Amino acid sequence: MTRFEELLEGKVAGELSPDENQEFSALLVVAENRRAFATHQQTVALLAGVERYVPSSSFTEEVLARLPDRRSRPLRNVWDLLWATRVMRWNVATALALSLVLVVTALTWKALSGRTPVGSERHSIVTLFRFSLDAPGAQQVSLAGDFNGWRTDEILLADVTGRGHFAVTLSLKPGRYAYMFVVDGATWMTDPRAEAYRDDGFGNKNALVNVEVPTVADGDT
Amino acid sequence: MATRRCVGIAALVVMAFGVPFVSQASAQEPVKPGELSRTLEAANLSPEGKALLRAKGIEVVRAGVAEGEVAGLIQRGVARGIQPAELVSLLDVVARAKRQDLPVGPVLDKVKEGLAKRVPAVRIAGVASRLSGELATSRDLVRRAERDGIRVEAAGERQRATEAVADALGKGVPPEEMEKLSRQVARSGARATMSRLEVGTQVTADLVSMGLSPREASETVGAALVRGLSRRDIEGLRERLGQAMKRGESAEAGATQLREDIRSERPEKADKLEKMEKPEKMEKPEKPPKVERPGR
Amino acid sequence: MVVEALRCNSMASRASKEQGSTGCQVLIDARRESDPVDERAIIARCLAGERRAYSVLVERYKVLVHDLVSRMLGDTSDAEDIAQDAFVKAYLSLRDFRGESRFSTWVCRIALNRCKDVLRKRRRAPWTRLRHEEGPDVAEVPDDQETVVDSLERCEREARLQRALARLPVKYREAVVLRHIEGMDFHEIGRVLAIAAGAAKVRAFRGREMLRRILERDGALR
Repeated sequence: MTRFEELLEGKVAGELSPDENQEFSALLVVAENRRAFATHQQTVALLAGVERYVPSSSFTEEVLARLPDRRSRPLRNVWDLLWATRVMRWNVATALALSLVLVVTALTWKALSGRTPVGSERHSIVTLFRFSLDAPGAQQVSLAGDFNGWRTDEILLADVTGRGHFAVTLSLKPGRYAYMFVVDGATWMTDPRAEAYRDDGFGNKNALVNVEVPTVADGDT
Repeated sequence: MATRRCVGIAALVVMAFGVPFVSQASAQEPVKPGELSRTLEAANLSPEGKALLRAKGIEVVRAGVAEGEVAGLIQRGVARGIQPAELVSLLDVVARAKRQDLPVGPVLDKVKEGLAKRVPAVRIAGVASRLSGELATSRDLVRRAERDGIRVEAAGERQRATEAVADALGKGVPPEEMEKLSRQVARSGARATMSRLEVGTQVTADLVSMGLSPREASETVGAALVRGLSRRDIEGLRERLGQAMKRGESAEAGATQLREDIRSERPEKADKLEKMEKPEKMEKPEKPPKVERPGR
Repeated sequence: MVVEALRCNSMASRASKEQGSTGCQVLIDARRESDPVDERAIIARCLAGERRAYSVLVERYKVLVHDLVSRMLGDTSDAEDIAQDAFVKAYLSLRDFRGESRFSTWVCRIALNRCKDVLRKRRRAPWTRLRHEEGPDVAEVPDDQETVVDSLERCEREARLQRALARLPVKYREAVVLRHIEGMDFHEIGRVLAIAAGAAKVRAFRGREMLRRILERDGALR
């Protein structure tokens, strides 16, 4: 932050000392600073003027209803048993042997997890994804894409309401997949609701779905 | 006492070396011998046709493609009425990609797609060959990126990045723009990772699909990379541009504004940013930061 | 847009009329009146098994948490559930609360983390529309003096502001909301966000600058 920005922030918060106020006033001779100050004040006023969103009157009761009961005595005993401090006797030889087991297991795991045969790269995590298409009058709608080897008779969408709204939910492993719908076994249709597309090279437009690897610590890489 | 101790230690050592063998056995794929033969036997083809496909099929399997995949392609092609000679040309494209050490999954998918869409075999072979070419260019680009310092941090990242770059090349993003993007990632210090190149490339390709020129798309993503935006924020560029376009702005105007917004964001130090952006599991008990008592 | 503008939040402005504001001022800030000693006593009772004692803390901070979640997510449809999640999680983790800060700091931090999980899931779910694009619902204000036109204008202003807030990156949005809507000082914001007060100041400043530019582009500011 520049000195002016620091003082501006302090001014907006009403936290400037008399000397700082003087310094700030001196900087306001610059027209751009005056403009910046005015618009910041406007923004602050706008924000301060908003209403807060109030929850429903049953909010507190609903929270209390979701709280667990006090842990019963038998479970409390198990809990204490798990967390009670213990004294363990050990020697260096046993410790070294255990360390060796752990290291070898970890190295083996790492080596094996890097090997993936051709045509069968797989993750064990899946995400549910719903595909739907409005096709009134259609007898059958199926889904074909990279995720099922483009088989047109494998994933059938269901028209639950009978009004031509076909849908299916798939569990997809992480990856990027191209797909299209097939109506009545013959007509290939691009998903109009997809937000990314790719030319298939054959004159059609594939829809794209991107399924990320769900991670807990999803920080930057 | 000594005997007991020796037995115990011996047991531990055996466990230590036994674990790899057990893991090895369980990690191997179940083998289905003869899938190719079974497929050809069941196929409605002349003996010459079968012989031709058997020879080519074995060649492709020896190149490293899974037998199941080869058998599957032949089965689909035959079901579609494709002549053995044309099927051979499709298998050739796959084998060539494998021999060049390219990720063969996308090539296989493209052939399957073409067969499913009843595209003439010649055209399928042409498109799949072009895709192989893009994969080769992108593989070289990714190798250069690694030499420039972009790190591979997890299994599969290199392959995913190669596929993402090939996809972007297929969408018309020139190799020079991809190189520029790669250099921007390489210059980002601790964040110079292959996964970041992958996401930058994917988002660039998506912005092109949304109507941006390849140059504008790579400039926009490049601005985000240079500013040190997180993976989440880079992926969010698609939605931000989409929102701008929903408001009636053109893709170019939206992208120009996006770049302005990005450049006005001052990135904080990486450690603080990561500390803020690392979410906490719902299940773990929440620990508050150590604070002094409030002065009020 | 017109349909949403007719529905504005009913309860919030009643207490604020005396302040002589435009009619949209915040409720009296319950946080400033809470006593840390009192809070520790309540928490001790909760840990001893008195579940109902927790209702005091929930009542005290429910508006703060619910408003914070609504602002961060850009809609109120999930806000109540997520705000409740935050209180439940805080209750389950009471053993780890050392009482060195206010309970509000703790529960706000939990709520913000929960919001980030939801926002991340929304981004990850491929190509789904962002609900905050349409802005949150606000119910009609029963106000004898405010005309229908004033009410519509106010709701339009709020909706525009909320849309602009939704366009800020999360780290700026939370600083701006905590500072200028929830009224926290920078030390407290720093404790909630686990950053230094100086960094909180920078984020609030930058967030306001971005907000200002967005609002100017939309014609909401001159």
